[in-house]
Amino acid sequence: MEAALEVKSLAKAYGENRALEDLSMRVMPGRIVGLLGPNGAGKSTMIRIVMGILSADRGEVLIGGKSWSRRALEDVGYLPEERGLYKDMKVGEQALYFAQLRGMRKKEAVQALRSWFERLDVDGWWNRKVMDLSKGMAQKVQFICAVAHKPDVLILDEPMSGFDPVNARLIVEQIRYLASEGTAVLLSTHDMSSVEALCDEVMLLNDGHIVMSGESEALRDAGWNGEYAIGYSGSDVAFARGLGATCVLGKVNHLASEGSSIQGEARTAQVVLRQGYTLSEALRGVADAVEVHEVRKLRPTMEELFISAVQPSQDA
Amino acid sequence: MRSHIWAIAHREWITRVRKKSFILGVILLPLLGVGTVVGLALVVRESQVDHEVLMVDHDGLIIKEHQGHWVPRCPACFKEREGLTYRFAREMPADSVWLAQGFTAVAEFDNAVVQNQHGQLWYDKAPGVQLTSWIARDLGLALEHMRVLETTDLNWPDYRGLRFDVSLSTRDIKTGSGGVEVRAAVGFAFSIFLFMFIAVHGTTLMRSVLEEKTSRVVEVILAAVRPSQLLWGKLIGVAAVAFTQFLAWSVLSFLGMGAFKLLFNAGTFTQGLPAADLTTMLAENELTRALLEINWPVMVGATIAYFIGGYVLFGGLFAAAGAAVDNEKDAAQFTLPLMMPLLFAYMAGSATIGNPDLPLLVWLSWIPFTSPVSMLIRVASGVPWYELAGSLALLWLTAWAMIRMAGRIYRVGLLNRGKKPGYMDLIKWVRRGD
Repeated sequence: MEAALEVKSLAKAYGENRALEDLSMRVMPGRIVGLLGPNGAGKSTMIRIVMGILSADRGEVLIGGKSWSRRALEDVGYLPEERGLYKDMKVGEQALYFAQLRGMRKKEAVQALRSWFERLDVDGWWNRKVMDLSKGMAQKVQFICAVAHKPDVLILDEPMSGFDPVNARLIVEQIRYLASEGTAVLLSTHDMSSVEALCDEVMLLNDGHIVMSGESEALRDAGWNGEYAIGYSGSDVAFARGLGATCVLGKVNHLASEGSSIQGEARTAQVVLRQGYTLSEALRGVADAVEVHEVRKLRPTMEELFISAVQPSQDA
Repeated sequence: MRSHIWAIAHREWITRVRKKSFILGVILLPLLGVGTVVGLALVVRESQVDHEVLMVDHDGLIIKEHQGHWVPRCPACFKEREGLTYRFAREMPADSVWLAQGFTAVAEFDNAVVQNQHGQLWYDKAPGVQLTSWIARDLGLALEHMRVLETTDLNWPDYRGLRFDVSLSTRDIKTGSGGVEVRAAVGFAFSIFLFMFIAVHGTTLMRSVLEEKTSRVVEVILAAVRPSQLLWGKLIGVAAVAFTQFLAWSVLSFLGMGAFKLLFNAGTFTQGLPAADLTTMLAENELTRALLEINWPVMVGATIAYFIGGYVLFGGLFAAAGAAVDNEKDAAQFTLPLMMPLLFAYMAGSATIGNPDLPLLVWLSWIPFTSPVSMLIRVASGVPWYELAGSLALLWLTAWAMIRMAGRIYRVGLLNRGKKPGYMDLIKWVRRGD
């Protein structure tokens, strides 16, 4: 299948400062790709090059398999991090203006916008002035402006900023819906919870190049260091004896661990298998000493992966 | 892509022309102008005081006794005028007496007036400049009458017949057109209008760019259109606002003049005067005749052409200034020096208003940064077509070059935040273009 958005060997420098170095990536139709990276990593520069706001020193951008052009850009929706609306315009006519700039005809734009207004619960605001909108409402209108022209590629830069949890959830649902309809979504954010909740793939950008990329689950699996969480009820001493030499015992939480269904007297211990031992051997020992409720792999969160990937270069 | 420019221009235009402040400005300003003129005319007419002036001639220079009353020796010298009546006396009455008798002013003089050519006018109600000059003129004429009869053998009508009052009407030898002062004044008025239009709408453009930058809407737009398209769309949109304003004022002025003509012809402003038709009166008046002689199609065409050139030139630079900074105060650092040439042209124009062929004005009418103001002063007096075409071509070419340069500053400046750029930064932006 052809990539909806592909970037090949992109390079950009601001004077002596290299913002991007030989950056390549692709986003397939229907996939949600998270673009992560610390401030100044080059995320916004890459996005601005894709959107034609900046020009690259080297490299190529392909949209739907075709070389970058203003016409091809009409198939891309964009919600920048620094976004705003004209305060003295009415909400509806402003959305219509942006849709027309995106190449839509008035009639189809009105139809699409009305449907999105209804979907995001802002349908009573068509004739209101932007200055009357709350911040959250304005964010919804900005989101609608980015998606109304049914883009094949959607680039969202910090889409959740400014939303309360209820509306953030609504936006997450819309992004999922668009992806299910075949839209390729590139999501640039610092919000790790939305990355874990939404992204099929993740790309970690640092100092202008990709330091880690792949499917979210695969990345978390790859980052796993053999650590397990074992939920049990009973004596801590008996549990430790039961483990014997099979594991190194880490932290023991006396409350149920996050995400666990075990309450009350339950404990959760973090253990790392020693070389030459299996999980079955370890569990056999503790099963006689305490009541084991739960065993699960303790994979790193996206945030932990992000920090571990970025930290060395930041320390350096 | 061209449709993007029109979409941007349309947004700029529609959001401005439907503002209450614009509608009020368009309707109220000309009404205010016409209303002021008409109102003043009516107020002056209504508040006109009938003056009764006592001429106290202590030595009987210009008066004689007739049936127990003092009358002028030359009745024709004291012309009958609306709101002015003369009475004559030899002795100065007490103040309370002449005030009680209803006189509004007393002119007092004796033999010394012949030497000094100066008399004294006492008043109860301020006589105004015109009334004073009428009294001085009439008294002067009466004294002249006395001197002619005393010192020559001529009678008064013969003497008057010998006098020549010469006036000069100016006429250009090349174009054959006349009324140079009136034309220069018209040209100057047009140039002030253009100066204001360029300054006002250039500033509007700068504010519009700043608004997009500070409200952070610009990145959304730049993702859909090129910076040059955005700049041209805004230039065209704001220019359309200027033309709408111009058109509305023209229509309203036309209607206002029509109404004035109807009222004038109906005698509203000329009560008590011989009936007159406005058109006939205008044609008889030298000032209005000079106005009618101006080549108005060229004048209006040149105004529009110089507005377009001047507006693109200065508007582009104003837009670049707006894009380079984050607030209006910082923008003034760049826009004030930009306005200096236009201001200089305006001041030079006011100083050379009676002399449109002065070399300074001719030079300024060729320099693109001053020509929109300077050339219009000359156009009203008649300018050879090749000078007009050359100056316009130079202005438009410079405007084109400047808009390309301003476009580069605009492109980089829109995404530049925080640090206020200096002139060296702007030069770098122009060179880099990204």
